Amino acid sequence: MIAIKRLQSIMWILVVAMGALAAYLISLQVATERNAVRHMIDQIRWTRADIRYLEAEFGARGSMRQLAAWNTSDLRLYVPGPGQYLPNERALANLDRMAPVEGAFAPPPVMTAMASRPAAPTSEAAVTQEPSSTASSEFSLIRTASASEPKQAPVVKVKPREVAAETAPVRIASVAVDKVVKPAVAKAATKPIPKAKPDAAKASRLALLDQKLLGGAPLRDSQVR
Amino acid sequence: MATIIARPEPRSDRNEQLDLVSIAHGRIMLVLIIFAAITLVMAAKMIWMGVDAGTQAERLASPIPVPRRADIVDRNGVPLARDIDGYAIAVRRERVLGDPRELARKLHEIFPDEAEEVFYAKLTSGAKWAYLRKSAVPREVSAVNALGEIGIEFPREPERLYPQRSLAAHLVGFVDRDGFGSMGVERAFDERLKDRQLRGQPLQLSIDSRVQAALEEELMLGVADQKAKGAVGLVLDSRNGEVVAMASLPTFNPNRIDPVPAAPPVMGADGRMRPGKVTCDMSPRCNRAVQALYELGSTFKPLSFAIAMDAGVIVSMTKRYDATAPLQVGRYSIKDDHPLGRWLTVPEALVHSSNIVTARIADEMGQKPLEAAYRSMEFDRPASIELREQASTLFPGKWYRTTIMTTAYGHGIAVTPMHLASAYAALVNGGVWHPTTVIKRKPGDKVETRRIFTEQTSAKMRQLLRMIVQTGTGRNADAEGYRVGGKTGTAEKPKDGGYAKRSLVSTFAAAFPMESPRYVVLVMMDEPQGSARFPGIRTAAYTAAPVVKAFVSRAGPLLGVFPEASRDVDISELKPLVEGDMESE
Repeated sequence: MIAIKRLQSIMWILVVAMGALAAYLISLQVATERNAVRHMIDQIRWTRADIRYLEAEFGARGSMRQLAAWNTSDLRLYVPGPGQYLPNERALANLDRMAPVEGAFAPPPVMTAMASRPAAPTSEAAVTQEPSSTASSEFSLIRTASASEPKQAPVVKVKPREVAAETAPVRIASVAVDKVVKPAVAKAATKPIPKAKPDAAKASRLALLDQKLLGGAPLRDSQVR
Repeated sequence: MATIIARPEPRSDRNEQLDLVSIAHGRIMLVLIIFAAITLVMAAKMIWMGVDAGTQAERLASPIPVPRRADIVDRNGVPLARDIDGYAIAVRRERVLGDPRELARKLHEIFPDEAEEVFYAKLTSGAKWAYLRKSAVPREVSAVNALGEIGIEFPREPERLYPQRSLAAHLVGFVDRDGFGSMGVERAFDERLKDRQLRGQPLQLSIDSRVQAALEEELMLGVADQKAKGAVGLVLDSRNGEVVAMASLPTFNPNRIDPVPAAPPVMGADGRMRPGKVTCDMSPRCNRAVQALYELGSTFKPLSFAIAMDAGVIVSMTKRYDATAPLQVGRYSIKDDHPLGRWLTVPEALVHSSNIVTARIADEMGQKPLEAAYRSMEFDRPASIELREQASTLFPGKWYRTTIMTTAYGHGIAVTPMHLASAYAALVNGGVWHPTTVIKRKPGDKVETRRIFTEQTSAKMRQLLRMIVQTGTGRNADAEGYRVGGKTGTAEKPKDGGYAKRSLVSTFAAAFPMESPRYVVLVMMDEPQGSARFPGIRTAAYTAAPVVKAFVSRAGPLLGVFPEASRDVDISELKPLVEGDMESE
């Protein structure tokens, strides 16, 4: 009986000791996890510091003065002239239009696209109309493209010396249109659209327009340079 | 042998037994309390750890390295100044193994700007630990490391770096060795940049580094071509007073600060030699846009004409003024540089830049409106810009009749180019003056503005300024398609109480696009000698104006203004009022 009583007290001591040990283990585990987190945070901080350092280095190596020096020595790029900018969407739509001969009537080729509208009048009537008066859906797309042109233009802010002035506007305008019109064409191409739907006609017209404006190789940046 | 045996006392006393039991109970209680306390402490610790871990996690949630000093960026976020962990080179003398003399020689080979003796002194005397260089680039560090001296250490030290080098150096400024801002924005916003709460966020300036680079390059080309002593370029947003670009030549590299050269001593009134004052001509650190005073000449005429229109003195553009002969006022004679010898209409007076007509208009107008407008445009105090390096203006104390006449065409009043650009912004933006700032304004920021000119006057002045560029003295600034308007001004620099005939300050103050001017551009060439294209001609029409044209053509698209050949300001109503060709300055 006495032995059991003695054992009971030892048991209590053991229980308390085990409890304490468990608590200590939890504490240890928490500390370990916290250290790991702190280590990770330190790593992130160091990495970000390295990124800052690299940004500073890139900034210094690619400073404005350096870019100007490279331009003077190698690239030889020049400021675009006023003729290379288009003021509005109407000018963009008229970009590849043939200039009418004085006194004679010459139907502009871009009018074909406008004539194929569902609600369009006869082709002759459409030909005689001004482009601005026929605000068709595809032209609203072109307008978007042209509206983005001034924002895009500064990217192509310098003009190659050797490129002829009259070809340059085509390039700038086309680069701008590329970003807006192309996704629509891609979308149209991937979906099987029945012929009767007006969307299909629009897509095909856009494809034509796209081919016309963007087709051919000379629109690549490397060639612009 | 005698043996003494003492009879032991009986131990089983009842009271004693009770004491022992109570002692035992007390001890058990003590142990229990200790255990309970330990358990309690552990439990408390566990609870605390649970709570604290949460707060710590919050505290460490954003592991972004906070710089010692906030970055400075331009309006598009391009870094202009930032802190990096640079290298320093230090020596721990007791660990140096090699020969100090030999080491000093090798260090001098790596750093030729520091004498061998200086290195030797640092290696052999002074404290146990000393800096050899407070900042060094990695290439230099590796070269020193290759010397193999274990006594040399390379501690990492925070360092201020200006990645764009001399770009906008006067505006951004620099930090001294103790980490205090010494110039420009670094000085003006020192507290903000070092603020613990704010230094994680970059300070965004109003300048556009692309436009700044274009302006500086065109000015440099202009200075080299015209052999000018210096130049100033300013671009302001006329709608809110933001400084989009500010350049002053010559310039400096804030990454390597050279000491300011000492001014030659001057003799005082008492006959003693005293240290002279450092002028803008002596130090490239001088920001001529706000620190240098100039009599900006004819560029003041549009301001005077606008004030006269609002004062009711000029009621019609067709009104003619006598410019047949020089105007005699007391012992002074006011002459035109290119006298036409006839009566001139208001547009003619501006296009031909007639001093006589301007003086007559000012005389008719009187002191009150002219002085009030000049004071409203803050010509009587330093420019309202945050930069600390500013010059006070030379504003007339007493307004004599001649003072009124001469200040109307920009003589007898000296202001900084920043004052003039700010006034031109008010002249063309509809008549509202804005305080200038180098900090990008947020939409909705309240700005204390004041009306200087009426809308109608501003609109008329836009036509007149455009006409000056289209057909008058500003033709060399007519960037095709950008609808530039502006006024030339050529003034002699004051010297020894008079004017130096051959030291000219040529200014062109312009705005574009003129139908709704968004940007004011001011270019000033200090003592140009004439360009290769126009040798020997030093007037603004042939020095400052071509620089403006080159800059606008280049920076217009960057500023969102695109050339349109088929668009212009309608000046048809003014054209018939101007006779013949305009050639004069």
